[in-house]
Amino acid sequence: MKLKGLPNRAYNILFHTHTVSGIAISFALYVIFFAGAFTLFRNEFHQWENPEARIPLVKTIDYNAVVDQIKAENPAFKTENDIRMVLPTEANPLLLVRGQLSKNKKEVEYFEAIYNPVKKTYTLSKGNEGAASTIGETLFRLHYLQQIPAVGMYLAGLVALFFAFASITGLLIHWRNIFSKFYGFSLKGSWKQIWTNSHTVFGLLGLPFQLMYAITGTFYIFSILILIPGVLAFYGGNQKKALDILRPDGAIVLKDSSPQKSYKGAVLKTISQLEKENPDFGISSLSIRHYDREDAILTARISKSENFTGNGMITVSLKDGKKLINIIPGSKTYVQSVLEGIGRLHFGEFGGIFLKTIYFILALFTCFVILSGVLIWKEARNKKEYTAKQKKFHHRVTMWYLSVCLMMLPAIALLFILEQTIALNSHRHTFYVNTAFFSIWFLLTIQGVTGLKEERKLMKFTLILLGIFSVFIPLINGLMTGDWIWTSAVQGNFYVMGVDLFWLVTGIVSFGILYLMDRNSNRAVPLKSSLNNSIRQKPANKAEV
Amino acid sequence: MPAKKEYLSGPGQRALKISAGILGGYMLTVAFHLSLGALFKDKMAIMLTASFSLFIMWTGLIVTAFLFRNGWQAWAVYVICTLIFASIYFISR
Repeated sequence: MKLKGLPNRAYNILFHTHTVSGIAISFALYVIFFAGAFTLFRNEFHQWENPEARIPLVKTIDYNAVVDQIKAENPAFKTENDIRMVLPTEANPLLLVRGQLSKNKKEVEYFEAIYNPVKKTYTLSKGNEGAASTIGETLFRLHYLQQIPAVGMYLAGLVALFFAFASITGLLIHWRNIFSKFYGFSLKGSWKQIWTNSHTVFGLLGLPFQLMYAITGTFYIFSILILIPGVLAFYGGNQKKALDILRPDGAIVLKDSSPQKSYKGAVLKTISQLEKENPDFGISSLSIRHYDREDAILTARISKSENFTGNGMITVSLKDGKKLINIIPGSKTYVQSVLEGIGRLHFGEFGGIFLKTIYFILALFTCFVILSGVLIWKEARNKKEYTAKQKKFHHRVTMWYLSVCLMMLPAIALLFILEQTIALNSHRHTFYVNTAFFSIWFLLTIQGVTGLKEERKLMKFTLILLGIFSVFIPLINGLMTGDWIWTSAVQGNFYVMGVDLFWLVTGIVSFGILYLMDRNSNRAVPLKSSLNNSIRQKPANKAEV
Repeated sequence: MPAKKEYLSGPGQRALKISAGILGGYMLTVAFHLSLGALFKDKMAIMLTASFSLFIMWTGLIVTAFLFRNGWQAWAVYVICTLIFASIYFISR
């Protein structure tokens, strides 16, 4: 069944804009998707990256005692300002406390304390000091290109916007064949046909997912483009008025003159009460204002991870236990649901680990669509109309793009190794790990472009590196922490074991692919030469003849 | 397989179409959402809807800008529509 396609002129124009926008964003988009795919699991692999987190989950923590302990050792801790806590979970059993330290009379400085509820100790890092471990953080920041100074985030936003553009133009130009492409994947024909086919088929299958990410991603970076005109037009330029509707707990007015008062043990007591009242939901985070004043308020965010609209917020006054805000899932308004919904879609947080796995696979599909797009671009220009110089340029660009993208996976595998081999317990840890990760990725990219010169060799080099690094990951974890795959299995720590197994399987699969590549090229010589001829750019001098 | 050149426009026209899409498209999108906000009581609901509809509409307008035969025409249409929605906003505010 064929649909009516675009008229000739529109088709050619949109085809061209699709090509240009796609090539312009390709490798940046690949990096964003690839880093994002791993970041989906940052909580799940936290115990792997931070051996200190490999502790049983402690259900009842005296949160008041934690704050008091931090305050006693850091007198600059301004406890009357916002204190936020992310509560321990099965995946990450450490308690995260965020607060403010007074730097001088006027300024404050933010800190983050990671509290171990078993040992009852914590590590505190201020401002931009790195925490004890960094894989999740590094990949998350790479996901919005934060490591590029000043403009990185906005570049990521523009990439997301052009990604939306490229997806829509792609949909329009393939509109004609939308039904036949739906189940049309095949590995027959020349490489150009295979790349074209997989680009359109995977592009179509992933389209809802990709469009969702293009739109929500652009929103996260450029929300200001809505906020500025909206606040100017509807709230008389008063930003607080608009934000108070979005975050009603921030709108509650607390008096600076409120007298000192300490509510010992009250936080835990209130939380237990809330948990009893809402047995279907867990409490994911807390925020406390005026912690040691009479008018102290506690806001608890409740959530149910298997439910799309399963988030809510309850604010309680510690003085009399009265509920000041009570937003319960199931009875939320549209306004209370939109931002949560965007977050749940973007972070894949509404269907447990199964949904995240589907997200991960779809993200890899998208990466494949990006790479096959670049290869189509090159192959479509491998024709007589183009001069040898132009072809050489197309080949060089393709090699750079492929090299950056393909080397990212072995570099991430290496990041896992670096995390555990570079000494812990120093604020410089993050700096060393990141420096090593980015410089090795850069060097591998250079090696891929200048040393290998050919797509097939680049692919093989990637697989060799990936295989070696991946297999080393469970070994390094066993050697450094004593948690071998079988010890984790016996202890029932499936988060640590899962990461080890993931990399072990990745390593074995990459060696398997390498073996198949070699066998194919040895056994079928005519096939090999035909493959090479179509995938490899013809040598310049040959084209001149 | 690359697009046929005879349909593509020169650099000046291209710059006009790109700017019409990105700048003009954004102006039109914002004016449209503000006019909706002026017509409806719940301003915050419109602003939150804009968190996705703004970017979808904007992208659509960037795409359509390329389909105009003349870049000036694209600019003219976008500016006129912006003015229409802006006047709806100012009248019904």
